[in-house]
Amino acid sequence: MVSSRDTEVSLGAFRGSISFTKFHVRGDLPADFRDRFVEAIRLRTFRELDATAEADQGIGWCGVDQPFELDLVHEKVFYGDYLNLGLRTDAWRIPSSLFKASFREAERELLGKQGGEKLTRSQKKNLEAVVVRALRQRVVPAMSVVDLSWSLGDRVVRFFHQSPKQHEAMIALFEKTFGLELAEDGAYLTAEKRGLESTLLERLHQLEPMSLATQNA
Amino acid sequence: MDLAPRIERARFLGREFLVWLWYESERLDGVLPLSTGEACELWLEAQLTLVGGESEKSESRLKSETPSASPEAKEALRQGKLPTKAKVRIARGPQTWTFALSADTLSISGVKIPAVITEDGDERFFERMDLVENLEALLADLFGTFLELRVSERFASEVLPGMREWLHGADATHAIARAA
Repeated sequence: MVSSRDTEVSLGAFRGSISFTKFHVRGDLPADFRDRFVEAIRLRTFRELDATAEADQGIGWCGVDQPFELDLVHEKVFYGDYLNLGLRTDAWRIPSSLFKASFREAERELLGKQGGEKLTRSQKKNLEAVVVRALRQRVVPAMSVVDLSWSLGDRVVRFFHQSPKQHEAMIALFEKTFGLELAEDGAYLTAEKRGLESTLLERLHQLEPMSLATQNA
Repeated sequence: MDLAPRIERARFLGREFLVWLWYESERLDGVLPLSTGEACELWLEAQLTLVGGESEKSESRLKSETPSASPEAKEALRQGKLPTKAKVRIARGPQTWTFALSADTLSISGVKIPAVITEDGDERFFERMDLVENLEALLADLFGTFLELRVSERFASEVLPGMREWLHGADATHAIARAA
């Protein structure tokens, strides 16, 4: 092996300091949601990367706090009124120095066999793919796991990562899996959730930002 | 109006909420009333980021024991900036939480929760979530108070002048009110 597994397991629901972004689930849960959700989760459970496939990365659900738990049965997912999952993303990360050195060697070999001084653009592209596939056999994919905890009664999802890129990936997978939309928390949804009277809620749209600035600032 | 524009339209209220917490904390010596009749203690501490004024790119990042008490922090507000992120300490009874509050999404990060008793396993998760939800309930209560105030007539007649006086001093407040 070229390197040990590069693993990023974010702290969250079970241990360490807590950082999360809250999302509100829009829509109602189906009546038999527990069975349906487990079935849906199992369809989108994380699958190990295939070194011969084109994809650079794979994404899917795993057990919360247990990235290698991919047999997601009821008791691995439901914690009382919470549905807990890990969002696991594995990606091939081949060090660029390793790729460049391997490519140069493969290029020398090929030129030695076929003759000539340099490869055409398409030959280079094909050779890159061959080198990448060969290197994937020697490296372990980098793994990132982020906890997700869905408080079913409150219709709130806490996702223990704050990068917009991770949010985007999670929202896409969540919506595909459960068929329910997510909306990121903020002033409006907090007001709505708090049950602010509809007349007051309507008045929120008419508000203009206040100014505390000195007039000549 | 669809949900997405409603959410975007109301984002500025998060920043206003943060500056209101700051104002209330200084005005009430850190003891803020809750809608339940109880109270919590709240301070801004350690880190404060303010953005805005002439440009969203104009940012003031202040770090000290109590950055909100520094002249630079008030000056940033006078320049029209509003806080986008602050480290907050909040206590109710024997329980204290510290965390960073991001105003635009009202998200919290780096939360230090009161001590968890359970060592490991599912119970630890439930205990941690319970403490997080207690913190969220405190913040939602304070945010609710702010929103009800913000949409009321009292905001323009009492709260905003009070905040301006806190920031500029009484004379400047009257001048701003006259200009507005």
